[in-house]
Amino acid sequence: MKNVRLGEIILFLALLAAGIAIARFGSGYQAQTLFQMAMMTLLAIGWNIISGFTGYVSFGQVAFFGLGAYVAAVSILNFDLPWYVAAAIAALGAGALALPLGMIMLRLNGIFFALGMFGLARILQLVANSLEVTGGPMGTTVPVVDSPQLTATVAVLAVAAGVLMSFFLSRSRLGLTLMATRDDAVAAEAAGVNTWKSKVAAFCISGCVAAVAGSLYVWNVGYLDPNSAFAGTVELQTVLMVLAGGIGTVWGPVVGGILISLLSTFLWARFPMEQQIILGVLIMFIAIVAPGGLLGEMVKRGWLKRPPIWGPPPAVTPLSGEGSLASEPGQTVLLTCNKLSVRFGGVRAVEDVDVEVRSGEMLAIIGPNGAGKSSLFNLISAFNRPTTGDVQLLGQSIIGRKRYQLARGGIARTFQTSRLFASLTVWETVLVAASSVCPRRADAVARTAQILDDVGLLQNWSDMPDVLPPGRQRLLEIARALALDPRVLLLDEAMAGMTTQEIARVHEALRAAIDRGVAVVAIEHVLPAIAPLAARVQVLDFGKTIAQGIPYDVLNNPIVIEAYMGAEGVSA
Amino acid sequence: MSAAILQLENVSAGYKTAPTIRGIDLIMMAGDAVAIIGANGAGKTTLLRAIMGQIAMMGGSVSFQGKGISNLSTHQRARLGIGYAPEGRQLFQSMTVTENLEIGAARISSVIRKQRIERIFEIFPKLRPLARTDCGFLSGGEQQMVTVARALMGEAQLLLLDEPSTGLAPRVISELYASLAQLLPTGLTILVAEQNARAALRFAKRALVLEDGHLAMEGAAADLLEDRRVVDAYIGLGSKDLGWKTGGAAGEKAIPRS
Amino acid sequence: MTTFVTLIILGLLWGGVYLLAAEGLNLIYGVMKVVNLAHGDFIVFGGLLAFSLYELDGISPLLSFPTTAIVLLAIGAAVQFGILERIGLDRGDAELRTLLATFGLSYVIANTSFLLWGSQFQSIPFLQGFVRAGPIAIPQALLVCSLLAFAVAILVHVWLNHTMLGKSVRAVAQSGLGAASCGLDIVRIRVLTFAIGSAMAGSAGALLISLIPFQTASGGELTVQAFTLIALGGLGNYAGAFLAAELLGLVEVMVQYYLGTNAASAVIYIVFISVLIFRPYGLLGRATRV
Repeated sequence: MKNVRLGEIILFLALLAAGIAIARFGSGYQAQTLFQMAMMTLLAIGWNIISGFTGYVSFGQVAFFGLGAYVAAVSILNFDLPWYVAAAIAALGAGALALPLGMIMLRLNGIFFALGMFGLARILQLVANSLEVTGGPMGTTVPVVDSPQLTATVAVLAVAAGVLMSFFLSRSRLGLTLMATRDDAVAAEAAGVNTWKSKVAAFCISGCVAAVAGSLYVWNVGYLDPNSAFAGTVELQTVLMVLAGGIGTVWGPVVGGILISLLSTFLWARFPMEQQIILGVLIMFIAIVAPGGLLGEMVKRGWLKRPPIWGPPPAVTPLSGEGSLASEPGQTVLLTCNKLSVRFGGVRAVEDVDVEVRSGEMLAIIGPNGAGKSSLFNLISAFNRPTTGDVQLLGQSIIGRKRYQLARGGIARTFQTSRLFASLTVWETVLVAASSVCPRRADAVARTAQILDDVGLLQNWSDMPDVLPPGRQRLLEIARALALDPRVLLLDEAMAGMTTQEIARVHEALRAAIDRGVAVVAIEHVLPAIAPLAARVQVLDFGKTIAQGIPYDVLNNPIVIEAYMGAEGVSA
Repeated sequence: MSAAILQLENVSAGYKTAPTIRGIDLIMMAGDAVAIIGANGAGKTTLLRAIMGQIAMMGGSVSFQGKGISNLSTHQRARLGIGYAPEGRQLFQSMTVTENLEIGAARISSVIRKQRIERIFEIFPKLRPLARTDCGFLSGGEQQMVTVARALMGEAQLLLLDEPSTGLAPRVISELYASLAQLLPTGLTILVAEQNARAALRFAKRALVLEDGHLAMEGAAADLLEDRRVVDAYIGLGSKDLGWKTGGAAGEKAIPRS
Repeated sequence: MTTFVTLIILGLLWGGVYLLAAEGLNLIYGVMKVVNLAHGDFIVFGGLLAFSLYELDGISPLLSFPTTAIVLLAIGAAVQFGILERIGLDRGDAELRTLLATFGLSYVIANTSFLLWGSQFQSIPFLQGFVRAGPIAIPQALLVCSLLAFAVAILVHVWLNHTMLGKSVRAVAQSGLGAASCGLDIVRIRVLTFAIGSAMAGSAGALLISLIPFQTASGGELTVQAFTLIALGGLGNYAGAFLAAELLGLVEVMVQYYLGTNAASAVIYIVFISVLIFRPYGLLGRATRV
């Protein structure tokens, strides 16, 4: 594992040792405090997975905490199972329930998801209220309690396991897709990510972790009632811990967990009445001033850097074989659009447009502003559904297919305004696409390195997209699209703002792709960028095709000139 | 001997770190009609946004009627007498035409406001029957008229129009510019950024051609109308290198409609 | 039959009160696309304030609710100006940060209420009698509060649609850039909007506490209820909110009567989640703005 820094290993082992030491040799009070800290930290780790890595902020983490507590309690009360079996059942139960719940709740986003989860927690609390077997609203004792020392030890080990899991997650394919989804779900889909599957997986993991924390709670406290199991203050502290430590980082929940636990304990001793005010103010402060938390600020200042996923890039060797495309005989029709139309409100953005895209050829689509060019791309890449007409890839209609399916199935695109992943490096950005089409890690890595080298971005592999000049950002988008090994490449004003060298580089890469049989469709405003490559030009105006043919004819066509410059018509 | 209505000196502006437009100079006197034309991405909208305070300037200065306004916010500049018809119109869609006009002069007495609305209806008679209609139901041309009318409600001395002809049929464009031309003799100064070069050049007296964020050509509108180089700048033909300079004109927010 | 008619009337009356409780949130959301998670806590604060005025000076909630409105007006203005405006609206994570900030604010307000009033359930025993019309008996308090709530809601509605300031608020809601181009100070209008939304919450609290008891921890539930209502009606949509309020009033009254209190509490959350899933744009379809 070459990316694990020595410091991290030492820190991990030191904390683990300290935790176990306090648990074993400390007083009952100290062990109990440690247990609280560990349990909350575990909750924070779980919350971080759905709210940090995936970007779906939830105000209902306590829902799964309480759920886990209740499932564990029922297992113990009714079936007399030992605590660890109860914990396992709680985790499984939460996971099983999280699946359908996630499929429902994850359709929401932003405030809807956050409040929806809050509502879910309240519903579960009401259910718990009416459960006779656990004593309804008054609660019940649960006859499995062990010493604080033992529970604290187990809790510390559980946190250690949680950290390890976060660690591996943040370096895995799933972690990569989650972060891409968080940064820009649309771009992630266009890069072949099944965002839905990733989100649900993260939701389930998060729920399981919370449920384990809940079962540990029951084991430690020996008493369960709805108000405590679903307490709002648990939610408050969980959120604050992750925010303070650094949302979306591996160590953030732990750092925040320790700090906020100590703070809470201190406040509880000195200012028990004002505790929530102080914590609330702290959240507001962090949200306004430093939303990245402690670790986030350190990353911002460059003192800390997240190690690259599956990086650094290996030496580039030429790909064995000529890519995975079977070379189509030249000029096969790959993609057709038949009488394609789409309407938004009363506006006909695209009207009755026919397009034919052939392998090994570039088609340029031009037209004045508002002509419908990007709308056309949106129809081809499943970002919008056509009102009428059909789009076919190799003879099969693709209407109704999902975006990520099209991306993996051979249609790659870039966007008119760059959609890059703000928190992923250049390397990782292209890796997202490569790993969508290469099941094996080694292939994905090799492919990413190759593509970056082809477009000349390899030396920038560890840069974040916002430090790249605009031309290189566009280059990155093109690289990401090429990494999908597409049959059809849709470029939407991809070369805006590029320097001459960058354009030359792109031309080389495009030329190579075209020679391999890829069909390129390029929207461009100013033609010198693609003139050397475009075999045919199609001109759109007001959503309709007004001219097509070879570049020279089209560009000297008076109808086309009029569309750009304005009509001769009625004088002012 | 009157002060210039608008003075731009070496203005640079942009988004994030690199400027999208650089070194723009312009002086406009009362009654001037100037068109800014250029291909998409050339910087026309960026320039108007900089004048109106929507984006931060990275260099140079802007003065209105002799006073520097570089540090004022958008609404403060509007209150000084700059009317702004933004890109995409930005009407209040579920409010009526009259209400939209009223907002244009929200801070003055209702008596004077009513008088101004009356005057607007004289300039744009087509709006009168639509007075009670929600703007969301108007056609593109009618909406554009309301946008301009609303900008005039504040008794502006300078009117900035950002791509008013977008999405309009040629006939409607002519009508719009005809109405604007009527306003010039009253001393109103108009600066219009346009995609549709011909309509803008017929309307304006002077024109600036932007390319990749800098001033490529400047002159009398009538002259530029005949100049083949303008066509080249738009469509991209022509033998000269159209200047893919380092750090070019990216970042210009293209209208997400095509 | 009588019972059924009574339930209907009760439901409709309750709708009025719910409407007032939720309208402030709608106003704020319409203008700023911000959901104030502390909204319920503002309601509770206002209610408990009215309770204190009643306890200490015997002031009836009918008279104290302007006071609570003004207090919350000030608090709301302070929050928007001092806190929420600090979050730059143009950055991509502005929505998230505002969410988190109001999340924290919720705890601050709830805890402040706790410090001032403790954690007991409080209510104002006001107008305990019944109004009778034939066999139908309606609690006086509900009738009065509901009518008052409707009056305030209508007042705000009139203000929004027939005064320049109200129209300016709506204008900012629909296009910040358009409003600025017309010379409107958007920051000031946002502060005003948040303040008024908070004031409406406070005054709703003063009325609500005469009808049902609540305590400092009730805020979260009230926020969800208010949010459910405006989501059901279409965020930012006034006519929709009215419809949703009446619907929710009817549903809750019926469920309460036929299925009990626990079920009634659960209903609101179930409706909430159902709305979010099946009709996120509200009952009336695509949300039209304020």
